Amino acid sequence: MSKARRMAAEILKTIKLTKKFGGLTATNSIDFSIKEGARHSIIGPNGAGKSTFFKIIIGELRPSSGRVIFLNQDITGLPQTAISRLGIAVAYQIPSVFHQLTVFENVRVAAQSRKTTFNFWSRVRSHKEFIDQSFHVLESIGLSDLKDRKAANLSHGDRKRLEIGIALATQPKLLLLDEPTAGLSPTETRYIIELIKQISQDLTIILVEHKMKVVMEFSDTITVLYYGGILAQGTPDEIRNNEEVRRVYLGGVKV
Amino acid sequence: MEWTAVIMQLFTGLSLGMLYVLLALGLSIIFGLLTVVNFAHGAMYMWGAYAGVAMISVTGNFWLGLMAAPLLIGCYGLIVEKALIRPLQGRDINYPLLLTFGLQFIMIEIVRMFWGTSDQPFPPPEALSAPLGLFGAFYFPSYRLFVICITSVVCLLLWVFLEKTNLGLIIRAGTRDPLMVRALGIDMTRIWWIVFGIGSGLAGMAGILASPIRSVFPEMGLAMLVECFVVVVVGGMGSLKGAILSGIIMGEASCLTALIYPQMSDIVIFLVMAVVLLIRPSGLFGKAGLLE
Amino acid sequence: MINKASIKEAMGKGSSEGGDLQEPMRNQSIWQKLAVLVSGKSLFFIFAFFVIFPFIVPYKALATQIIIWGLFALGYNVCLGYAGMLSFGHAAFFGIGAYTTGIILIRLWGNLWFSLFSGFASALVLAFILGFLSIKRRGIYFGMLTLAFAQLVYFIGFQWVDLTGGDNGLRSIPAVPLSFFGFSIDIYSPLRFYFFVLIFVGLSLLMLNLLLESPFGHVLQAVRENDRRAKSCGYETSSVRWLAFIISGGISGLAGGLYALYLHFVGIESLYWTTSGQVVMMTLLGGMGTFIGPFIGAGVFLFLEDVLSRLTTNWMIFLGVIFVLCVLFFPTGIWGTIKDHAMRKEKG
Repeated sequence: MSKARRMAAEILKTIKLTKKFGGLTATNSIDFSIKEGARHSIIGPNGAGKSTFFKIIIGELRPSSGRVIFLNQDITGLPQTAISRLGIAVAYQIPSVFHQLTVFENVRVAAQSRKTTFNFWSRVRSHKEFIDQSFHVLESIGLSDLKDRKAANLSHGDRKRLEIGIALATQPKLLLLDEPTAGLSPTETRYIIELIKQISQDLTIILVEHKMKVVMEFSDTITVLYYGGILAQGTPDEIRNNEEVRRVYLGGVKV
Repeated sequence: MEWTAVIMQLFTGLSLGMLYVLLALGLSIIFGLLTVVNFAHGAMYMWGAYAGVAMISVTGNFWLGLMAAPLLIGCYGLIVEKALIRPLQGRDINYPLLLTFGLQFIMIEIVRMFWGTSDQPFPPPEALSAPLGLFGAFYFPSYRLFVICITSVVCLLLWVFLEKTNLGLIIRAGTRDPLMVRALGIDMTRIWWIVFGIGSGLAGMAGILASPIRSVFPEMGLAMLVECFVVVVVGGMGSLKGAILSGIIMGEASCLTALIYPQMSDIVIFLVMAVVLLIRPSGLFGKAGLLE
Repeated sequence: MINKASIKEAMGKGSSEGGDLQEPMRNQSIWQKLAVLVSGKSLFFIFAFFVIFPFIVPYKALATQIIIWGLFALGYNVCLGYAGMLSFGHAAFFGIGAYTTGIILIRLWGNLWFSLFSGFASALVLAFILGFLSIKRRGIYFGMLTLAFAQLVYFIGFQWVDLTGGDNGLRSIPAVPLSFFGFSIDIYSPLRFYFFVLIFVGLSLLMLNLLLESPFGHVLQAVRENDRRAKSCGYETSSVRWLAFIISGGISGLAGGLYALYLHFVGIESLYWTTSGQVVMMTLLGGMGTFIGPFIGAGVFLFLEDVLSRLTTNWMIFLGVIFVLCVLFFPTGIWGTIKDHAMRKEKG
């Protein structure tokens, strides 16, 4: 089913989302909304509030006021574990993996999370569905060859891929990616772009990125944050041509 | 209830509390700056006491012992930091803890080898053995009064050192933001070395001060260490204000309970800890998230 | 290139093709075989060793002591090595298991199974409670809390002289025969008692092996490796660690109960934090990152203690020095170092 024909329902919405840290308003009454299946990016200069917004969505921070609605359910203030189970996954900027476990085990433990936590009486090897799923995820992120290597021994680029793989294994509906190409070579960046393009056919992606090439190539829609508020929203072309955005973020350069 | 008895116990509690404070300050300083839990702290306390025993048997003079013990144990701390703790830098923070844990047993055995396992007699010095009369009604043991005074002086000196000297400033900054201090080009390894020495010295001082009022035997540091941990946890790990307040509270709690319900006097500090932690998980003045 | 079909299946939406996903069988070189044995997965090898064990140590009672403490260390390692929590309070579980077993045998019912089971259960309950109070905290704080709470238990035991005998300990635990199906076996000769204990140790080994190979076992290790990431996958990490703590406590309690039967006596020091310290040392000595390492650590520790204590009353110095050297130079412990070596040889 192609995206055009799919009913574009709203998957995530924030209403007047605000986060204050003492005197600092990191997130300023943000009204945000994206549709299911969207490829959406959030950009903005440092200090614009991208990571705060991000953390509120995934449940690491509670907002000071406002609401977050996911698939018509109010998830405001829910703990991170609950939000994960509802179908929001995250790939952190600094890869956060299970270092002493192998690549395969990393992915499998994420895959298991949907079905069991406390099962201590059966061998994990006997659960074929986790194994199958893990192998598929590994193939899609291109780490099948390295499946038995300890995550601690991976290169940075491979670890970033594993990071995405862990998120994928939890079968999310919405995936948040925090600078997935940070620190990667052009070839590795290319791979990640292709990967997330593929993934976005089956789920909604919100990307936080600094590399404008990646943002422009990948996104259907872009939100520009500035000092905790939304400066502009629109298609890549609209953002490219927006005078204000050019001034504050793109440095007056045509991207 | 006899009010004189209560006042005496408050007084005794204060002297015990100040010993706790000395120990807790040493432990907290080391932890705050090096993020090392010195499990040998109780053994250093014990070695301070035995250093006193040795000095007295050689010179017959308590006051010399009182000056020498902290210095000796402080120097020992310097050696330990450089030889044993420094090599563990960069590893998991549990390693120095485990190392000092093993070290204490070595220290206990060494003492057993030279002094045997039974209690060492340790009378208070001549000058302080007579009780001091106050208002004609109360007679305070002079020695305990002395303990309170001298530990207060040490706390004051420590405060002056930390607040008013350059080195103290670096130490305070290093406790709060170690990376920043290093980025400023200050060599933290020397500071760690010194701080570990100071912390150990404080433990040694507590040991010799405690000797005339608590028994001196090789395992004396074991119970004291646990009590010291409780004090530090209640005060807040890495907090000096917390160590002082908590030490006094615990000393008083322990002694007052001994008056009312003696069987509980050992247990009460744990109960206080449980209550405090339920209300304020980081302790009285602790920072949340410090090495959780 | 990216396999488009795979991604769909990864998302759980595509059809799941079967296919054999087992590891392809390789021709295993001698080093690979050794690595398998060394990895401790070969339970048969372990059991065979245990059968001959009492015959290769200086005296049979030592073998019994070693496997009891080995069990304790194994249980402890669920907490330290697998959950990543450095607890200094496991003496509370060992001690309560010992005291409960002894007290039941003396006062309530002279039934071996019941008393041992009660010891195990009492440790589970205590671990449930202490875990609830301590588990939200991690790292150093957790260690301090466990130490403090265990000392609380010690002092309660010390004061409750009517129940525990206080400083004098719980004496004269009867040597109750093992009875089942009408048969009654006296198990108190050194060799028989060893094999009696071995049954429990063996069952525990199997259970622990299963636990660590289970989904939960892997979640536990993931939580140890990266608590934040585990949370972001949806796991309630404190609950996971709590369960591990309870299981760890229970096994420690079982070891305590067996120790009570072994000595016919429970000393108050079994609740003191030096007992916690001893199991920590054994676990580190043997290798906390391995399955069987703690057991080996217990063996080496007790063996050395036995040998050295004949030479000098200050044997603790040597053990302390060995321990300190291990922390400095062999942090993976004896077994961990051997394993690393074998693995390196295999690759090289």
